[in-house]
Amino acid sequence: MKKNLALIMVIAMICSCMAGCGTNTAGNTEADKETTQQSSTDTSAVTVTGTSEAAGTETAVEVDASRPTTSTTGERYDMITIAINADILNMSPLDAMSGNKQYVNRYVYECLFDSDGTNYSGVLAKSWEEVDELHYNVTIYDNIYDSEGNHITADDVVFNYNTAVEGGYVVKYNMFDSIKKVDDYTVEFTWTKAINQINELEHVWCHTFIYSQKAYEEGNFNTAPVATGPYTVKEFTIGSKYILEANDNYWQTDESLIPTGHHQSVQTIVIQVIPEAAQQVIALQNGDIDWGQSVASDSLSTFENNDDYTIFTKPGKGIYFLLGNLSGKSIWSDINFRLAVFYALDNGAISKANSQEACYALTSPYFPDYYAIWSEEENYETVYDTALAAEYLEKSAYAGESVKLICGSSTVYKNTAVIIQALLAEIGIKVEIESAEDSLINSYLTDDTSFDLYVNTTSGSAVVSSWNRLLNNTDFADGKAMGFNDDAVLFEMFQKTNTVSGYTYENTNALKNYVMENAYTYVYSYQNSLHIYNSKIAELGFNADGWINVGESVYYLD
Amino acid sequence: MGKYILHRCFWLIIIILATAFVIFTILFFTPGDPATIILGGSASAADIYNLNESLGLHDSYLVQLGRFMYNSFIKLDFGTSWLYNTSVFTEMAKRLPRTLIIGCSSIIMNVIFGISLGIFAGTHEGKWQDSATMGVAMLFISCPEFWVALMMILLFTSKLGWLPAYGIDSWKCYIMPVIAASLNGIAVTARMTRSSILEVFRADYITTARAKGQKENNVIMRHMLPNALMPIITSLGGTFSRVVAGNAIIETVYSIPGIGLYMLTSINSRDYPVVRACVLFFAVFAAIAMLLVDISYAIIDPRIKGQFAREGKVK
Repeated sequence: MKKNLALIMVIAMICSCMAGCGTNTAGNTEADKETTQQSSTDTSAVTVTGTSEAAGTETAVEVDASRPTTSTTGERYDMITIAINADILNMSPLDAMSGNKQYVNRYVYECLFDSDGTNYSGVLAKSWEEVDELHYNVTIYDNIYDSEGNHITADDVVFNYNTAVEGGYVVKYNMFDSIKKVDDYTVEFTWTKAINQINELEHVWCHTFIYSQKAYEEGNFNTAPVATGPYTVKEFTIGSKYILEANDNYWQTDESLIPTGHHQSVQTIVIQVIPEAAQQVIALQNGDIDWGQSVASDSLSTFENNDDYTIFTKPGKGIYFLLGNLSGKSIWSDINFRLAVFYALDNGAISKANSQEACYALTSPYFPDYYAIWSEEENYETVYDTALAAEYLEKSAYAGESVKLICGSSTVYKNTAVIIQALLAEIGIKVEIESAEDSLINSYLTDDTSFDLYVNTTSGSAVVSSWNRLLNNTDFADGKAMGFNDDAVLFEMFQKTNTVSGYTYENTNALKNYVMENAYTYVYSYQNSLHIYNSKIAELGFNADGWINVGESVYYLD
Repeated sequence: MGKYILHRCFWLIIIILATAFVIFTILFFTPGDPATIILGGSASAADIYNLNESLGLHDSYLVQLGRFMYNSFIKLDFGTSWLYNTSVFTEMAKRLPRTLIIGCSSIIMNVIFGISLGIFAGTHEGKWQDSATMGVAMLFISCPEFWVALMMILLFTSKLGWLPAYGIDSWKCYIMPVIAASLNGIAVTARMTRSSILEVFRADYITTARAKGQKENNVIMRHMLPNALMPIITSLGGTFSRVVAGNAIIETVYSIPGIGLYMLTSINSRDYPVVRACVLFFAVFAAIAMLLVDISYAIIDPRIKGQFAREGKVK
């Protein structure tokens, strides 16, 4: 009797362990933006003229015109609750804008400009002018007040930038030399070099928050910031809940001048921190939240064919890539081996397994400057040919050794790595997979003996910026691009394309072709972010840079 | 007894210093780059280098160790979290009550239900009550905490709608976390109590007590239990010392911002000041908990108290 009972308990335990294993933040959610290596150094004052629509996979959402909404009546919705899967940690304006800070800080703080990837649009800045190639003047509005009534002037702007630089958390500030006041509402930026790259000032102008020096020195901005944004922080419980209230004294009273992402269509925003994806699904089902960051594709069946929920897919800017170690210490240096690997990969299959969409020209067709003709061309991203792969492998120096593939620790990367391993095994290439957490990936990328292949994601705001981490040699200390690529021709082509004057179809196409001729990288899929929300929301809103913005969303009022 | 406590306090200082040295060394040699995590994927190598420089991470091992030891033990400053930008101590103080609510409540449930079940099983040895109780205990031990936590959410939140599944808004938010955190401990305590009860069950003094006409309840509570408590207290002491370490799994599943989740986030993000401070705090708490356990031996067992009185130290 006891033995039987013990056996039953053991079986129950094994089943429990197998049932309980595995959380999921599958690749179709905004959660993946946390692991995305943002590389948007593109865009400046250029208008891109690609031929792509926004990938055609964005769901068409029908708003019921017979029902009153916040956009038709101009009223605010009462309260919306969203869930994020990781803590925002603090609300300091000095911290780098990484992780889930996007979900909260953007409502409270404002910058001089916003960027859509190619153009700067003024938020606090009324105008800017180029005095000479090293000096730009920016004039802010003269009626900017924060939520406590402090008047924002040029002195505050100078203080903000100097404090940000001294804080040490600034990113991509290598062109910033200094800032000084010209008059009460005008500041002069001095650069270390001429600004000629696409969106080169994104971090300086669009990611540096502006706030009152007086409020900063007298208050605690980590938990109770005072700023100019459309929302104020009413409650801040680290790791648990953040409540934002619409700022009734928002300084910008001219509706026509309020940019995307700065509207106040809801009175109260409640942001719950719910790390567990299953919890978010339950919370959405119970009506405790209206949208969840981690409510992903594998919970689709729960909400499909249910009129109380809307499933919305939006193509994303994140691209998933495979590249290798070109240091000379890996078989990857052999171009025939690279081509063998790339022709053996089926990006359609890999994308489908991760509920993503296949890429065909080293980038996402989401970008407005993507040329549709690229998807028609024949190359290793559009052709899956194991016979051709075998031919290239035969020509290569591969002798049957195991190649090491490193990837991030999330489910998407691991899935991808396993599929790549299986596909390469079909042509006789042995792959050993090693996954590493995000904090350790850099140590692999800077050690030329630690990997042969590497799978990860990056993003941008335009085609050329999506290639920044892959093809640009200025982000790593050794002057090479990712994967120890030291091709001077590539860097020259990239730098030429990444300029305001050089960002043309000819240069972009030439760069793409050069990368593919040399088989430097394989971009196999792009993110197709999935959003599931309940019937309160008529239409989900987004910032100019693609992050969800509930203040920008449209709600039913009945 | 006083001498014994002083003696233990002296060793407490040595333990804390050694713990500080060990945790610092482990973190120093642990791979991973805090600056990369803080700055995110956009950062260039120069940005990362500059931040690591400002955090003092390019200094030598001895310089960093000396700075850490000086700040922690002379200035009593555990620093500011690199991620949260708040004082480590302040943040721990805010989170500790939430962790203690779960921890202490689960200890109380552990004691009440664990010992009761153990006594019940022990006094019905060989009967169906014993088998049933031990079967339940085995079930509790077998089920992983996170699985129990998720199943409770499915039942009590999703199906029945009785209890909230996350947050710290009300006392109801703590019911499921406490239950999920207690089950394993109840099972272990029940089994240990049963074993201890069985050891004293057939003792002569128990037979004598029954022969004198004592009620069974009195026999159990006044004669059996005190003699069976020693191993139980040792086990509970170990459990108690882990209370402040929190239960990271429970806190993650139920989204409770306690010490466990704080430390888990910090480890993943290489927030060294937080990890060091938390480990030191746990070490102090564990040492004090063990001291209290030893003192309780003296209270419960007059023989040990007599030993203290005679020799001033534990054999």
